[in-house]
Amino acid sequence: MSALFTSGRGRLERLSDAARRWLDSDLARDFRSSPVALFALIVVGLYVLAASFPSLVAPHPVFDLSTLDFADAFRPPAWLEGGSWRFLLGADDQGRDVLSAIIYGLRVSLFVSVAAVALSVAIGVTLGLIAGFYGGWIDSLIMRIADVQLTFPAMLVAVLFDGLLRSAFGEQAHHRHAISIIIVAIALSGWVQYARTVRGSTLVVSRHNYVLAARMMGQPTGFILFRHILPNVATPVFVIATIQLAVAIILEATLSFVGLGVPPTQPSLGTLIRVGNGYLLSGEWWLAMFPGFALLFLVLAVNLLGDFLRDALNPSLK
Amino acid sequence: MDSGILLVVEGLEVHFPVRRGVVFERHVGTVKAVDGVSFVLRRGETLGLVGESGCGKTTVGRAILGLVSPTAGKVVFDGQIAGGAKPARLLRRRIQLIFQDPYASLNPRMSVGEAIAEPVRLHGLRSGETAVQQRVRELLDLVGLSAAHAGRFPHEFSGGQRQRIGIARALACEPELLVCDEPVSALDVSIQAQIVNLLQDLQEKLGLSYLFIAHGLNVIKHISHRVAVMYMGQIIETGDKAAIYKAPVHPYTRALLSAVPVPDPAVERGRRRIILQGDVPSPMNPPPGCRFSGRCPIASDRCDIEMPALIQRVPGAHDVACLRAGESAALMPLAALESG
Repeated sequence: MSALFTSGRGRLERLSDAARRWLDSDLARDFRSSPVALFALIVVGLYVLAASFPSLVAPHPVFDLSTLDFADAFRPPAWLEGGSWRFLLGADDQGRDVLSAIIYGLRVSLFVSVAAVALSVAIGVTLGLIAGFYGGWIDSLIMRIADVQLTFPAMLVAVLFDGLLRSAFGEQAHHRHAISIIIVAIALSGWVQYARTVRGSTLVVSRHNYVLAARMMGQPTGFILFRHILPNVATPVFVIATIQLAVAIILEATLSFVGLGVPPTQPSLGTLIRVGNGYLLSGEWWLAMFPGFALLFLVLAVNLLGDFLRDALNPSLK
Repeated sequence: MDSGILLVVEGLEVHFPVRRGVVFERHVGTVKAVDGVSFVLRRGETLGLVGESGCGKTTVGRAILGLVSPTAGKVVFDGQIAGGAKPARLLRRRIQLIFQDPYASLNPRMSVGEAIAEPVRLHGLRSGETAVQQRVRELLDLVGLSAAHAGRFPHEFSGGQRQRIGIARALACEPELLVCDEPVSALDVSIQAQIVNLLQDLQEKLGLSYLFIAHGLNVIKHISHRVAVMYMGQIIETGDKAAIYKAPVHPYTRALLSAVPVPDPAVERGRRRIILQGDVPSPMNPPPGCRFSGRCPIASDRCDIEMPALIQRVPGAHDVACLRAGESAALMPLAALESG
């Protein structure tokens, strides 16, 4: 037992202890008994894997212009007449492999939406903790700002923010920071949900005696907020974040589709759909359809995962 | 026992404003939760603070801990004014609290070892992680748990064990005064005795002072050196344990004692409970005279008008606030006392 307290070996033991506890937890058990959730988890896992290492997964390096050949332009998917197994899902107007473009686009889409959700979690959770813990006029101020924020639809916030920065920085600078701007725009439209949920739970948890005990021993407020209160209000945040991830992916795709999102030099799934949209009626349907399906399955899997977590982590449904 | 004075509470008053209305709040009255309480606590001593729910005993504890600001009066801890809005961190460390509910007083997401190590690290009481963990083991051992418990989480423990963890966490601050707010009220009777004995052992080993808050006189009897009985925000009788239990004077104290069962069946058969009539008056609108006059079986007309002061009966050992202090023993006999 004393090994638990020594550094190196002890830490490893504690880590494997934590792993065993996780495998033994209710959540892991729920996963094992729900094929849909397990399937969704695997799909999301594959997407994340492909997005993390696109150069290993994608058959063509789509950003290397020297590999493009105009002879391959508008090549249909492999199983159709004129298709080639080199271009499984066909090629676009410049002879670029659609499958590879999707995989690289996925990387941008996932990065933007994950970063946006992470940022809105950070903003929302912090403001919610502060509002719930301090109460009084700070609480009123934060929650009124949240109310005002809610009256603007997410799309409008993103468009406003994008336009504001475009006029403030000029087109050139805006182009360079396009990815950061779209991340912030999506994050700004999503933080309210976290703030409201966390504020409500914080109101309850901060009245528990272990919070009082921490104050009694003289812990600084920041430590109490993040070490004692946050772990006890975090569960619903996970659920909302998963569901919001799907919303963020769609929002990013929508913004990119209307041309407000990521620049064409770093195409996301939304950009691919927008470009492909122009060829839908001229017969080259695969340019828009396959990125669309990729988006559909990703959002579906994330949503299924979110629904599962919402039920699995809700104690009143047990 | 060191007879140095550790804590002085002088004329402590804590009033809470009562407001009505949502948009247009208006002040409709004041609840005098604590209304002029004074006492002294020596090093290594236990003062039992007894009274029924809502009499202000918990508020006295909170004022000492600096969790509520006194409206008037002061709390002096070891020569320093305490109980202000922001007491110094050092003072915070030296006064700690033991909670009533052992279930809500531990963070469910924090292992026991972490919870106990936290104050040790915060106040730099040990340097180096090895020394901190060594200290955690010592503390667990001190409260009768084993070092193997350090990695476990609160839900794996029983109520009594959790109370021990709470005590270990308070001791980790190396305090001099523990405010015990009904520390055994939520526990089984058999466990209550264990925790009370543990607190007594710790007092002997570490020279701690306790302010022991309880709503019944029986638990207090075992652990206290001195007892103070509160009623509606005031101390109505205080003195050495022997004085309070053998020769109680105030009618309220006598009524409380008459409710305690006696383990001797011969005496128990003769025990007559003094049943108090009526309810505690509203603390927003207390009676002008003695606070207890409306329920007191021996109250006279004078009691309704005149508020009695706490008067010394036995110098340094027994104070009572009652206008009929001389007559209560004859008018309200207690079987248990006569037997000795």
